[in-house]
Amino acid sequence: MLLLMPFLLLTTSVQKLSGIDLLLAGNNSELPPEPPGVVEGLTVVVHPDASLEISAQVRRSDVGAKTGETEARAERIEAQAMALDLAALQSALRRYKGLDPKREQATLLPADSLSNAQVVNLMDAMRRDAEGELFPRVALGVESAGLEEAQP
Amino acid sequence: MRRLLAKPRANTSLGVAALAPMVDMLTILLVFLLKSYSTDAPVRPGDSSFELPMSISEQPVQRTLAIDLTTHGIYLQDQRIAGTRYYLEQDDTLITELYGALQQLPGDRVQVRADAELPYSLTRKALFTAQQAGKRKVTVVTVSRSSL
Repeated sequence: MLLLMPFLLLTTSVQKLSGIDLLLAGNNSELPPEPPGVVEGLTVVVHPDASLEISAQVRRSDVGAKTGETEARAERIEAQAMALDLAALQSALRRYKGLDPKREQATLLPADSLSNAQVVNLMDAMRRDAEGELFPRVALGVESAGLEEAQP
Repeated sequence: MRRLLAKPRANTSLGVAALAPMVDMLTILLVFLLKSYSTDAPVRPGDSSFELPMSISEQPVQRTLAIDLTTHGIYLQDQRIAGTRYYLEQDDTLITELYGALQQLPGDRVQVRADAELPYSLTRKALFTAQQAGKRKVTVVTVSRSSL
């Protein structure tokens, strides 16, 4: 033990690097297909004022509704003291996860003005919450969503 | 004479008693170090202002082509490719210098190491450029929250 301790103390690094594999969402890229389920599309748009917009394509509740017969649902989460409300985002995503537990993919379109740290925090929040896994495969928008111009 | 002979015995028992908590502490420290052991080389050791974002991800990082986005410049494999300010101010989505350099390198895997405080707009442009250059497997490098 006395030999191992100095060796570990000398060679260990204070930073442990980790990676997040990305799916890149753009006009020219195709995202991998999801298993058929009730939620057929799920996108989180982050505006420059830190408000969030969740839009989902959810299969209609008719008994005979087939794949592709969806209704659009949208939800807006306002910023809390100019900061992203990640708890509200996770709560909303948990509802969609409850509708379609097999779905693993969601798309994130962050505003250009966000910092990289905020985007990583958002991705973490979308991938997992306190209850468990949400949407582990986050597709990141890489083409300008024109969000800066859309704001008043 | 008896006292003189008995003294070392008393010291030995005291020494053994003191050694037990020290071994306990060393064991706890050893377990902690083994759990958080990492041999990852520091990213951009010469740049004190560079800081990676923190993440809950625990996925290990493989050695691949590395694009560094810092406040000073855009680097590919530690070689400066372009300036940061220019591409932060421009509307162009493609970083042409990076695109040209990436096209000359084999493989479809690339990792992006972006400064935590830089705007996402630059990262978006770097990701788009990598995608256009045929690098389909992109990993964003972060610092794990379980770091020491």
